[in-house]
Amino acid sequence: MNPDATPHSDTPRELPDDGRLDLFSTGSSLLRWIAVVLVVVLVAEVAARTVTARSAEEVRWYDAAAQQRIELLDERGDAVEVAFAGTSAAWQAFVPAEFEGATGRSSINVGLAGAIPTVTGPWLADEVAPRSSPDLVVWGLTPLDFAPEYGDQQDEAYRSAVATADGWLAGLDRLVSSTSTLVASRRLLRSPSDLFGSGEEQRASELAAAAATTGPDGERVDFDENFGPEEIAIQRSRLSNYAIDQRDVDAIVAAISQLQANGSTVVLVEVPVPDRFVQQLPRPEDDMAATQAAIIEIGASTSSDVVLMGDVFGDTNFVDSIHLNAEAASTTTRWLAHILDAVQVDEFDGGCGFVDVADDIGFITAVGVCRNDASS
Amino acid sequence: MIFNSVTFVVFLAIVLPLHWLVPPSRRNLVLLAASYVFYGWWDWRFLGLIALSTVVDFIIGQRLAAAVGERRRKRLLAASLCFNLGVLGVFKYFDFFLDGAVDLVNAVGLDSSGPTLGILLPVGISFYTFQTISYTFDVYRRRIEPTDKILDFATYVAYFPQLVAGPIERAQRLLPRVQDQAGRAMPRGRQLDRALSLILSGLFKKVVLADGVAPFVNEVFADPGRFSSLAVAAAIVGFAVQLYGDFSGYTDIARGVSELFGIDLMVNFRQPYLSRSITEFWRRWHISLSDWLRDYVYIPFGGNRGSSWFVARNLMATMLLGGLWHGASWNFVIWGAIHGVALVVHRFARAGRTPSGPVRPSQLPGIATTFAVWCVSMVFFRAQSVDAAFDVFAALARPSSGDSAIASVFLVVVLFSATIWLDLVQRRSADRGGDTTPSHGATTSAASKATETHSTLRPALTAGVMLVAVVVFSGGSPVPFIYFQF
Repeated sequence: MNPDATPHSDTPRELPDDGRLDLFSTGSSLLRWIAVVLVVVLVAEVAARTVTARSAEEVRWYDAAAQQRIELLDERGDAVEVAFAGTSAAWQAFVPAEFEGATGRSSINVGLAGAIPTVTGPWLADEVAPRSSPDLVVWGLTPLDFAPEYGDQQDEAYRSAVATADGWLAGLDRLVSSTSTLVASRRLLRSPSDLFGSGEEQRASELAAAAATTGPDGERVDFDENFGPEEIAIQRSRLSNYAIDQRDVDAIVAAISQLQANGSTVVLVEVPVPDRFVQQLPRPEDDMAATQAAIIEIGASTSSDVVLMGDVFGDTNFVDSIHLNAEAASTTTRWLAHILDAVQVDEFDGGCGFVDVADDIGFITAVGVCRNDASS
Repeated sequence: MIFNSVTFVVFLAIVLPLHWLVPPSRRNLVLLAASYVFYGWWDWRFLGLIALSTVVDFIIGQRLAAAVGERRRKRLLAASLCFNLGVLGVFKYFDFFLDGAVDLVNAVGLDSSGPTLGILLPVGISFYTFQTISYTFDVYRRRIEPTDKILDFATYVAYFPQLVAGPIERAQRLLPRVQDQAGRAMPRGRQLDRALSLILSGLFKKVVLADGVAPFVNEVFADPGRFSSLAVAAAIVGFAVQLYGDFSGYTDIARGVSELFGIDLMVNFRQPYLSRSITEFWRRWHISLSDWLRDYVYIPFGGNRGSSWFVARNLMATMLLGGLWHGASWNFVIWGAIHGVALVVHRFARAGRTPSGPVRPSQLPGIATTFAVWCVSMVFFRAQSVDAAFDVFAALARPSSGDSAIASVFLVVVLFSATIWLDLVQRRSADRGGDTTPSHGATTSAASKATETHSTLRPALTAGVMLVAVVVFSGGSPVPFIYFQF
């Protein structure tokens, strides 16, 4: 407000020039202008490369573990025959070396923490399959995969990660990033703390933690016990209002369709969960049954075999309310190898039934199996 | 659709060539259609409101011109004001005043919960409503002739570069430019350079200065108690940088885009953070609003006439209304009150002297004091409530114990310095009469060539640095402009 105005000065002012900021020169000196701008950009690119060379690597994927798994996949290439996928429950449950020992098929575990189907689907179809073309994909599922109250943050994290963001602009960004450090590392460059301070330390520790909890074939090797009440409370909140979320079903079906088109066979495995976990469901028995029914239905609709191992272990075989201990993980993997073998050599008659598996002391367990894929 | 989005780039890439390809008589049709698409992108339901506002003021303008008796003219003006302020009142202030009435009823001991309608605020309503009011007012005062072409008037009201966040253009200035379709020239040479310069500087201000500092500001204002007093102070300064970068960045882009259509918009900011007094500040910050308030509120109240007490009253009333214009909340009322008091104090303390001419180092205390007053008012502007604002002040006054956030404080210092540097460059140019290029006294060809090289080098270097900065600070989801909410 201009309080110096007089009653006779109330017409819009033709203001003096606001002070030009000349930035362009599109006339006869356009080429010179472009040359200078290019030099500035080149100098900035060199500076960016110099500065970021001393900083910890930036996490461009869903998380640090996903980033390291991509490096592993790139390293292994087409040598991978079997890929295990799913949330951390599946990541911990399947031990590739165990599977390879039982079947002779080279394996890798690409499971990710919190990777519900809307994350695992595109992860398998767009990232894993193009890099390794596995013959077989084993997708481990638990009720968490279908829980409506769980996974939105993970979904957002996957879709906003630099490497997996949606849209043509994100694609262009990745394209330019592949040649320009200035573009690729701009998130670091604009934040001093991310480049040199606490952000860098946090990034370095995330990468170190991911490396420490990932085995040589990508499997999870975090067997620290955690039975605290907080852990149970977290599961309870994730499973509140439990029902089968159709978005997750659709994501699984869509991903299987893409994987099959790529030449992969998919087996859906209901991953073992402890009773401690089941009791956190609003209607424990009904909700477990609904989960099994959903997996069976997906298997039938996509011609994928289904293995139901949800209740094969007691609470003592877990390190917390969802993750298997090392011994149980090895047993699960061996049993899975046996079941898949049994199905393939036609010991299984088709439809849904049971396959007996034996543990180290000869105790027999019947595992539910649905045979839907006639080609396997 | 916001300026710093891909959607807008595509929109502009379609509309701009179309505007210049159609016959001159159809250019406003293209502009109006584009403006309605631009506005409808947010919420097509509010297109009816802007169209209604256009039709009502167009008709009243026509009737004002035809009316002979002063009484009838006053009635027509009152009808326009009732309609425009009524629309603004319902959509922007209804819930605020309803809440206030409920609080009052509760304060006298009666129990009332009162219904809150939760009315959606149409984007830019404060801007285009003030524009239509000024049109009717000026027709009433016989300062302008009403237009008899509704297409021209509708284009003036809805012109998309300035529709949602100004500048608030007067019909006296913008309408002739809109009407002169054939006279519009496709920008070339210096005019094109200027348009592109404005767009780049606007992008720099928005993407680098405003969006660069925003995450830290948001973090501190969300939980000021967690941070040290240094970090809180930096966040307050950071918000001053953010608001200026955001709003003047928007204005620069709006002006640059408008120049691509051959229409120049008014200057809305003139290096406000180099102001030597609060009075000077209000001549340099959001000029189109302060001029509007001066002409349609302050002067009708009596302006500078009368006793000191009356002038002070007029200043306070104008600034309180200016605060309320920003939003229906007590925070904005307090924000306006702070500026009203500051203007009154300055008016009586300066004894009629107003600093003018180039900025000198000896004037630094005045600049710092003005900026400090602005920063204090910024706390109320940014905080979600009055209590939240006092939480910020409490965290500022408390001995340092929280998170110092040194890296973020450093970022604020860098971006604040860049803001002041931009202002200094422009102020120096303005002091020289608007030319940042070297003097053109050289006569020999060698001297002329050296001058040309020099005149290319500095713009290109500055543009290169700005482009690099925009690249570094871009990449996230586009952040909406702050003033869109007003």
